[in-house]
Amino acid sequence: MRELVAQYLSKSISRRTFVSKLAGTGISLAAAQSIVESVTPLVYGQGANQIPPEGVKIFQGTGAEAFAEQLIASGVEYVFGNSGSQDVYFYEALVDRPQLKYILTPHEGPGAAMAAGYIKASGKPAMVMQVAVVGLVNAMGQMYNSFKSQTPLVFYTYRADRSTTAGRDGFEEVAYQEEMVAPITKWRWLARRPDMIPETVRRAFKVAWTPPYGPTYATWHGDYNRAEVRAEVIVHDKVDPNMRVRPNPREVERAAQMLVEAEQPLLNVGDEIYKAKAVDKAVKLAELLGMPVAQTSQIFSSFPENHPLWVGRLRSVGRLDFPKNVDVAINVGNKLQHGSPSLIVGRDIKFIDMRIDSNSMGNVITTDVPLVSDVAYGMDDLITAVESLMTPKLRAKAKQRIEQTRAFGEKARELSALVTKNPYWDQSPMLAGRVTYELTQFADENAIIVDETESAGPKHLFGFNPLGGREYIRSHAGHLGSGVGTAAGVKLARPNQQVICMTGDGGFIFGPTALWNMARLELPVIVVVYNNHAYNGPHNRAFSNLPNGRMVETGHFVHDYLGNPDMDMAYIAKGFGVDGEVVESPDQLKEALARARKSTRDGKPYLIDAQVARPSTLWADNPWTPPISGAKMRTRKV
Amino acid sequence: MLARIKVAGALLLIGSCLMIPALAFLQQQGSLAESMPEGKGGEMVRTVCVACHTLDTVVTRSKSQQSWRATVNDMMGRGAPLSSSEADTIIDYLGEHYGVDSSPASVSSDPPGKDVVTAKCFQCHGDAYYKHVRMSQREWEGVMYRMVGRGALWTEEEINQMAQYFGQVYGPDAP
Repeated sequence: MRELVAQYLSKSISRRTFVSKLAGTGISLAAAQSIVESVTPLVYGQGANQIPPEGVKIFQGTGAEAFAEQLIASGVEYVFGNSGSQDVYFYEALVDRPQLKYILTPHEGPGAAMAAGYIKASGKPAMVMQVAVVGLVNAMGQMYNSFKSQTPLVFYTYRADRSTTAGRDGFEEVAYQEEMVAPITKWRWLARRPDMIPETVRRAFKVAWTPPYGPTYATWHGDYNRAEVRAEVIVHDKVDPNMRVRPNPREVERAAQMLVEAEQPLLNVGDEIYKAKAVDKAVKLAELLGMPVAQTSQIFSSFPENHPLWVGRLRSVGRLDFPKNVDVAINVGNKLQHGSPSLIVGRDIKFIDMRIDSNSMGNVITTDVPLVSDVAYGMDDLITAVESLMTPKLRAKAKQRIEQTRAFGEKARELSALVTKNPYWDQSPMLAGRVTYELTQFADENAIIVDETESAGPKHLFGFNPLGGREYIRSHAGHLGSGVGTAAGVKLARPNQQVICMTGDGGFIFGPTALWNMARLELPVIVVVYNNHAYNGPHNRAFSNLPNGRMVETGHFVHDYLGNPDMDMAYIAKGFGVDGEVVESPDQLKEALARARKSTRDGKPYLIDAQVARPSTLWADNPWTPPISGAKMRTRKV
Repeated sequence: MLARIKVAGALLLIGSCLMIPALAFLQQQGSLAESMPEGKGGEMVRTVCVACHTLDTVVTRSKSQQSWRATVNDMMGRGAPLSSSEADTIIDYLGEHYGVDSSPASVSSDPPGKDVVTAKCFQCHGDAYYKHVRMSQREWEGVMYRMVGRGALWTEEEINQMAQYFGQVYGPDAP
């Protein structure tokens, strides 16, 4: 028997063989099982002495129960799902695990957006759970958004084909289902055995949450969920190593030298700062050098926009109103996605790039000093290095730059305020900019603005400040229908802050079902739909790209008008249990916002359908609609 | 055989029709090239820059040396195959012959406000966004203020100048 135990401890024989051979020695099966139970933890604990005992536990039960246990061990509190027949064992497992909550979402897209919003606002993990391949394809729009915005969202859907019948082109069976998501995930995997469910789930979370973040996808045959398994469940925060990286010290010294020698340095900030909770460090670095700060648009606002060193959005350094003559630029945590062939940082500027996302560094812009690191650690080290080089003369120079930037900021605020002098400022239907302006006047001092709009006017007047002021969260990376869902998730994560969702009619109508979640879960969000009954962007492109085309000549724009009949978003909201109203003028909007505030204070969401103008003569008063009529096609009036 | 001759004739006619405007265009570009002052930088403009765009987009403009540097850097970012010293040669040439004190023929006859439009609007986009639109000065003024809403930092005076220019050049009755 001692030899048998030694073989089992050294993993030379399997558990089944161990039990079988124990029984062969003449002891009862029950006694053999008991011996296995006492010995097994030793087997799993060997070779990992640094792991606290409570970090790993052996779980025995159904595959679905093991799944739930691993989600809890991975720190998940919410699962956002749409129900599927083969996940019934998982739902069963939740009944006695109240710490893991299931949020039923009526459509996979807004459901996934809700999960993404929750992660963005809480910094905590969540799971999107959809139905086989058919649910997966609906959720993939948000998977794309998560990939582009580097949001660590974990997706799971089962395979509808059973492990015993796969390959027969059965109902909802698609070969290589996990490969469908390959270009828009960091990692995807098909678990090969039921007992590998928790290992697969743990790994999905580990990869998603290892910087740079991004979505992952786990899948397995649906019948694994009811299979009996025995497997390790691993508690993330007790076992997984801290993977935050410090920058190369020599590169830090080079960067510091370059910055203190600069005549006109510039700091560009990005999402990695917000995600690393390092906004205060960015402020410190900028103040130390008297360095103006800008931001190329991303998901979050990562610097206080009321700070004297803030100079605004950065399309390219050469196009900034201030400062001119930038000779050294440092980017901290911004992905620098180029929307045009023009370089964000020109080749005549020395460039320091600090990011954990090393894959995207140096792809387009020539980089003089690469600092691959967690930006919080990186800025700590850089601040220390710069401080060691600062002389009284350099400090005086920095102070002078602060004053110059402050003067620019005051002038910029003065000029931005001119927006109210638009001759159409009070018109009805409203200018989109007027609606946004009213929101900037209305929002709480620490409101969270969830944004799904494009050209909606003076958003910079919100004065975002992630250090306790208003926060900005963009809901998408191009795939629309995510605004309402994201706002619901944000409110779930931050119930004590006002949440306002700005969305266009086009984006809203892709994903209104999350309104139902807002009503059911009592998530008091204010949703403002900028409703111009049109796709404005594609319309303008038709003019700019085909000015002499037939569409412009005839007025037959087949692709952009959403009216006739006009959609009533407030009416749609009522169908989901959310109160709301349509407003046409600025005065009506102000009154509606007051009602919205009261509603949210009472714990109820509210929707405002703001009628917005289609400005300029590019639009006819009564836009043409294609003359297609099913009623007229009939030969029988049935 | 006759049919073949007819087809060949038709093709020649079509070819000629296409050739006439093409030849006129080449003549225009040729005369622009000839009008350029001598210099190594000019030679490079005529060979490197025209690989992607026509000469008139260069020689009808007047900019400061610094502004030309920004333009050339932008072009290099877009793929213009120039070394740093070649870029400097072009920038020096353009700054000397097409600088702010130079007066290309097409600039002097421009209506007031064009310089403001060139300086302000081109910071973010080209003229494709507006050159086919026809609106009143007041409507153009509305457009300018919408741009302020998007972050443009313009004074009231600049806005008025631009609205006046657009109202005149791209007004309701403009061709």
